[in-house]
Amino acid sequence: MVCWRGPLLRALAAGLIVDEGTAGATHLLAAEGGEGAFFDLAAQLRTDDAIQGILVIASRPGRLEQLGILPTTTEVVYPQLAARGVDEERIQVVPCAAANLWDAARCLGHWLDAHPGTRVAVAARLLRSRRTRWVLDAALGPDAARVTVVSLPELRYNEGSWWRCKEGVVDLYNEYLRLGYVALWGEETVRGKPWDPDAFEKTLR
Amino acid sequence: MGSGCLREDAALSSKRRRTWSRRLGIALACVLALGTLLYANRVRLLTGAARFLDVGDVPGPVDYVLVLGGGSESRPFVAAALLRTGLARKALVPTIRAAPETETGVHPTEHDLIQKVLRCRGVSADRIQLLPGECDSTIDEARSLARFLEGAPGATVAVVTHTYHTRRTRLVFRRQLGECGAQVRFLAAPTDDFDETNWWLSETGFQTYLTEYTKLAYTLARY
Repeated sequence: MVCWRGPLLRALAAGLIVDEGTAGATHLLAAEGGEGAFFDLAAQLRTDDAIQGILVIASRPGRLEQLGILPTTTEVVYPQLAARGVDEERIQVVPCAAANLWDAARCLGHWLDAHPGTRVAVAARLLRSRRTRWVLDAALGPDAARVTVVSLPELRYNEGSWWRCKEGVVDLYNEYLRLGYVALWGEETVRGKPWDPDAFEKTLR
Repeated sequence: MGSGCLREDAALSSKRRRTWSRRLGIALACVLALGTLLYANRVRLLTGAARFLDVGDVPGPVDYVLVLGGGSESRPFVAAALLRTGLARKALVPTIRAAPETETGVHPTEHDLIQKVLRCRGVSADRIQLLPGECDSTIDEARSLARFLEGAPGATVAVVTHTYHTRRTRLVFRRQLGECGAQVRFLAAPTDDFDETNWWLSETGFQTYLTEYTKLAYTLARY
């Protein structure tokens, strides 16, 4: 068992990972906002003539974005890509206010309908890539064949070392829970309202 | 004589098989009945499971309010409300270990975020104190508060965290603070998009509550 521990743990992570590459893709998209690894990938592909554009799906602004404390998706993406030499003209914002991955997938579906003949590589965080694939398959239907999923590397762990750091263990556990949820029930059925801090404060007075 | 013994053995064997079959049938019927009962009461049971994790106290006057990391979209707002209504004099913010996103410069650190929210909600900078010592867990934050209270004996503190986190937080803080634990109360910040009555219908709620129960079990085992 001790000898097989490494391969078993690696296999556990592999269950969450999908990496279909960017070959054949005409556009690149970040599954959930954009982070360092996505911007690096976009920069690597900027000389690839096959990649015509970088798609950005705007997330629904949360409380912190609405207050201006955190930047919005587009406020993050443009400077990060520009700093890596990606031409602003190659960036396309997909009109959307995605609250979750399912919303983003549906927005992508509308974009695919409006742009026939295109193929999109969707970049997802390493351990979220399989869930991303499943959600895209469920939300896009036949158009899912026009989409590939690319897994982005994590800073602190990889498929062969996730168990050596807290982030890796927590991420793996959380992702299996979420994958299980999607497998069993598909899309969530509740969309609650955000609570109101001002109303909360009034209860204290 | 010999054939009589054989007939007796066959009869005994058949009787044993019937007994085991009956027991198996009864066991299956019990499991089915229990399953039906659990399913019929699933909403009540699942809501109860969520409420078990919420041991938040009623807000009251304290000297300090400590904002735990891991919930910048809610916890600092509750802390700001306490400060603005005079229920707390000063905010304590633990130094949170940088997440990968902050290392790449895409997002600010969590303690910077908490301070920004407090300032945005009208709390002046002189009422916000950053606690030294990097924190990577609830236990680290409890130790950070323990060190602070060594220099502020008798000070009362309200620890703000999410509803589902209050039971584990109380367990950890009371273990780390010892006698000082009596000076600390725990306030629950609401969650967005799901609550105790529908968490299992939300992917994030489902993951949050199951993870919290796992962490609670781990904490209990560790202590």
